[in-house]
Amino acid sequence: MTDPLAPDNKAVIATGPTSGSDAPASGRTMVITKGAETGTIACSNVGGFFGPQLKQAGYDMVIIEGKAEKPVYLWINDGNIEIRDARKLWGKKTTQIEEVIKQETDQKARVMNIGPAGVKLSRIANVMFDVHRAAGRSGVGAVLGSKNFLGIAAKGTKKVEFADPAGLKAANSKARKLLKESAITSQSLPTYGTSVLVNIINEAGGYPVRNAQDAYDANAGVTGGEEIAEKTLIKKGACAACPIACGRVTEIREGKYKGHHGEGPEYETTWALGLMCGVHDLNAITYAHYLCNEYGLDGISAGVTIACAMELYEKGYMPKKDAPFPIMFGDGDTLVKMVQIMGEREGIVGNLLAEGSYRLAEHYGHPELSMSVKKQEMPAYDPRAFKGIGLNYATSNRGACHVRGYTIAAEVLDWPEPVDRLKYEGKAALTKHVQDFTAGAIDSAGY
Amino acid sequence: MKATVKLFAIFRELFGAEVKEIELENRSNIQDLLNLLCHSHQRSEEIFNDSGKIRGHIKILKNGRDIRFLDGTRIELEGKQIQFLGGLNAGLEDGDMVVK
Repeated sequence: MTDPLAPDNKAVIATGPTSGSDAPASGRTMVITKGAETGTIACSNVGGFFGPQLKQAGYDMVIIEGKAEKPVYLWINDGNIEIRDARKLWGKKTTQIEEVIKQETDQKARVMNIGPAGVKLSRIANVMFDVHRAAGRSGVGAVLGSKNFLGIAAKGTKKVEFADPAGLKAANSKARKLLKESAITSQSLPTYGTSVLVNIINEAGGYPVRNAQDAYDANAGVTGGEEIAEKTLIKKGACAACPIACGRVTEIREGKYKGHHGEGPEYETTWALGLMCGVHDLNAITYAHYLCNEYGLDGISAGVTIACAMELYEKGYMPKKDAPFPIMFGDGDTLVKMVQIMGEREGIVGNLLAEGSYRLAEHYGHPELSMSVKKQEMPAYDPRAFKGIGLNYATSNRGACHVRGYTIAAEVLDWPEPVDRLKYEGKAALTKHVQDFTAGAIDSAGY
Repeated sequence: MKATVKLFAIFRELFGAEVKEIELENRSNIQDLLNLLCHSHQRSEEIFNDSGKIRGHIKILKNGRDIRFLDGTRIELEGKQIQFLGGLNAGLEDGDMVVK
C-alpha cells in the first residue's frame, strides 16, 4: 500500500477534453492522487484559468512522481518545460509565490502552488490556482509538498484543435442558452454567488451549526449571499469560459480586518468558517477565508476542524494547558487565530489542527466529534435534513463530499426533478444516478 | 391570524423587505397569501405566468418544508412561517406547486 506522502504516490494535474474551447465552464482542472487526509483516491476539481493555459501550452496533463532533491517548480512555456529552483519560495504564502513566479517567468503565466500548508504537509492542504481558486479536499497539497514540488506556471499560445469544431460550437450555443434560461445560473449565482444557498439550506433545517450540534440558526442570514452582496462585494468574478460569474471579488470595509481584500468566501467556506464555528461576524469569516487561501488550507476542512476543536475544548476533552487561548464557539477573532496556528502548525493544537478533524478528535479520545467520512470533513449540508446527501457522504469514494454526488441538485434545486429531501425511498437510486452522472459526464467532459 | 413571511434573494427587492407580518382571515391558505402579497402588476408578473400558475423558478417553504410535498398552495397557514425563495429551481415547468 502506497503511503500518500511517499515518493511513489503519483499526482496527476489534468485538463478536460473541452479545455481551451469556449465551452461554458470548461476551464477546469483536476488534481488526482491518493489523498493525504483520506488515504484513498482524491480528485480535486478547480476553476480559474490554469487549465486552458496548460492546454494551450501543449499539454493535456502533467504527472508528478518521485521526490525532488530540493524544492522546485515547473515552468511550462509553449511546449518547453523547465524545472526551476523554488528554495527561496518554500514556505511562503500563496500570493507571494504567485507574484515571484510570474516575475521569474511571464506576467501572463497562470500559476498553481501549494503555499505553506502543503509545504508543512498539512493533511488538509489545497493546491491553489490563480491564488483564489482551490483544488480542495483530501489534502492534495500535502502530496505535492512531500515531493518537494511547489507548483507549476503555464503559458501557451497554441490553438487547441478539436475533432468536430462545428459540433462543439453548436453544443456550446445550446449550453449557453440553457444557462441563460435557468434562474440559478442567470439570476441567483451571478447576483448573490454560491452563498445564496445559506438561507435556503438554513431554512430547511439543514445548515450544521456549532460542529453540527444544531442544524439551524435564526441569524444565519447575516452571513448569506444577500449580505455579502451588500457588505463586501466589489464585483463578480468568472473563471475561464464561464458565463455564470458566481465568483465574488470582495473587500472588508469595516472593523478590525478592514482593508483586506481577495475573493470569496464561497458557500461552503462561509458556512465552515461561519456558523459551523458559531461565528456570525461576516468580516472575520471573510478574513479567515482569505487566510486559508494564503496558507493553501482547505476552507471546508479548516472550518470543520476548528469547530471540532471548539467542541473538544468546551466539553473539557481538550486540556486547557494544550490550548494557546480559550477555544470557544462564536468568536470571530478566535476563528482567525485558529486558522493562523493551523497554517503555521504552531503549538500542540496548531499542529493537530493541521492534521484535520479526525486525527485531532482521535488524539483527544473522541473521534465521534469529527464530522467526517473516510477522515474527510463533511460539507455544508446536514445529512439529517437531506437523506440523499447523507447517503452520498457515506458512499462517495473520496469520503464526505458534495461534489462527487450532489444530490442537493434534486433535494433542493429540483434537478432533474424535485425530490422530497426527508424521504428515504428512492435515495439509493438518486445517489447512484448523480454519482454516475458526475463521474461519467461532468468529470469526463472536464467540467 | 398572522403569518410571518421571510423573503430571500430576488424577493427582497421585489417585496422591499426581508420579513413581512401579514394579517389573514382564519383558515387562509398560501394561495390567499400570494393574492394579498402580489397586489402590484410587477409582483404578480414575477410570481405568476400568463395562465396564473406559479413560475417554475420560485420555491415556497412552510416551516422549512417545500409546499409541493405538503399540499401545495392549498395548504392552510395556521400562523406559521412561510419562506419565499426565488431563482433556485432548475427550469421547472410553471405549475400549481403540487407534486403529483
